[in-house]
Amino acid sequence: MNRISVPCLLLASAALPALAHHSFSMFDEKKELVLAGEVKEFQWSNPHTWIQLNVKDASGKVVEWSIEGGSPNLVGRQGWKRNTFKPGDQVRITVHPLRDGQPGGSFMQAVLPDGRTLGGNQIPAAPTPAK
Amino acid sequence: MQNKGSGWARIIAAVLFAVAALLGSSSALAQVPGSRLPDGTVVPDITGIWERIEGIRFNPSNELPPFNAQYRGRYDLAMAARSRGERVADPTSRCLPQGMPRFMVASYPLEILQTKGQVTIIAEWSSQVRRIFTDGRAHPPADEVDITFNGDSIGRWEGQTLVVSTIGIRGDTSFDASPLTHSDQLTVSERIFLRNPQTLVAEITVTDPGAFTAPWKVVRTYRRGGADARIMEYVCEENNREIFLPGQNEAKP
Repeated sequence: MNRISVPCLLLASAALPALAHHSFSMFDEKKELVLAGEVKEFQWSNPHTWIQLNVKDASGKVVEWSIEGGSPNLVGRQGWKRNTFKPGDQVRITVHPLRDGQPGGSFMQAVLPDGRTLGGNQIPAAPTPAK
Repeated sequence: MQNKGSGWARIIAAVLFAVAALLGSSSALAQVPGSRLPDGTVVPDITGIWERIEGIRFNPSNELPPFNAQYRGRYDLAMAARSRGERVADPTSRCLPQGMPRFMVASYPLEILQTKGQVTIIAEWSSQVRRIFTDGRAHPPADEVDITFNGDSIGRWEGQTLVVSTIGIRGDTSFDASPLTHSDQLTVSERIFLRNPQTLVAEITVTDPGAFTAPWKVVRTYRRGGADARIMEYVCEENNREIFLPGQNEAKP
C-alpha cells in the first residue's frame, strides 16, 4: 500500500496555486504523482503549509517527502484547519513533483483517512454522519 | 473694576481658544467617518475589512504598462527566462514587503482604519502597514524623503473621494508576481471612494518617467468583508523554505 504509484503524465490542466508566495517553476506541472504514506508532520505555517509524508519506495525504504501547500490564510478560508492532517494519518496525496528529482512536490489533492477528498482550492465535502 | 475687566478678558480669551480648538478639530484633523469638513462634506465610512475582487495581477486587464524601450526589453527577457522554467526574481519570495503599488493588489484582505489626521491601511500579507497622513502636512522635500517600500503618503478628502499622493518609493518594489519592474522615479496617486456602501474603488495612477512613456492608470475594486471577516496573522519569515540568495537560480530582469 505504501508505494509510490507510477507517475502518470497528464495534460497540464492544473493552474498555479492561487496566491503562490513564490514561483512554482521548480515543480513539474505536467506530472502528477500519487504518494501513499503516513503523515509525519503538518506544518500549519506561512508563507506555505507543508506536509511531511513518510512514503516507502519500491525497495521498501522509507523516504520523507515535503509537500508544499497554500498558506493558512488561503486554505484556511477554504476549510482547512491546523489539524486537517495529523501525525500517523494514512493518506494518499497527489502532487506535482519537483523537477530535480528530490522527494518534494506541490499539493494538488489528498484522500484523507475518512475517505474525504481534499483539494488545494476547495472545501472538503462534509464527512458522512456517524451512524 | 480693573480686576473684573481682566477676568472677562480671560474668559473671552478662553472661549475664543475653545471655539478655535473646536473649529480645528472639526476641519482638518477630525476625519473619522461621519465628521463634517469645512466645505460641508461628510467623511465617508471606509473603515473595515476589504477583499480584493479582481485577480492577483496588478492590472486586472493584463495589459502591460506603457513601457519605454529599456523596460520593455527587461520585461521580455524575464518572460523568456520564465518560459524556459527559470526562476525570476520576486523579492517577496525572500519575504521582503510587497511595498507600493503591489500593496494595493491585496493578496489577502486589506483593513482600513480612519482616525484623527490619518487613514491607515493594513495588508494581511506580511502584516504590512501604510499610513496616509490627512492632517494637512506636505511631503518632505524630494531630496530628503526616506526611500521606503510603501513610500510617503499624504491624502485629503475631495468631496467623497480620498485623494492620495505617494512619493519616496524604492525602485525595487513590485506590481505583482510577474516581472513588471519600475525605476526609482515611481510615484503613485490614488483616488479612493465608495461605489456603494459595500464596494470600494481605488483608481491608481502610476507615473514613472524612468520606465514609462505615460502615466499608467489601473482601477482596483474591493468588496466589504462580511460579519465573519477577519484579518489573520501572516509572518512570512515563520517557515519560508524557499530562501535562496539574491541572484541564485534567478534570471536577472
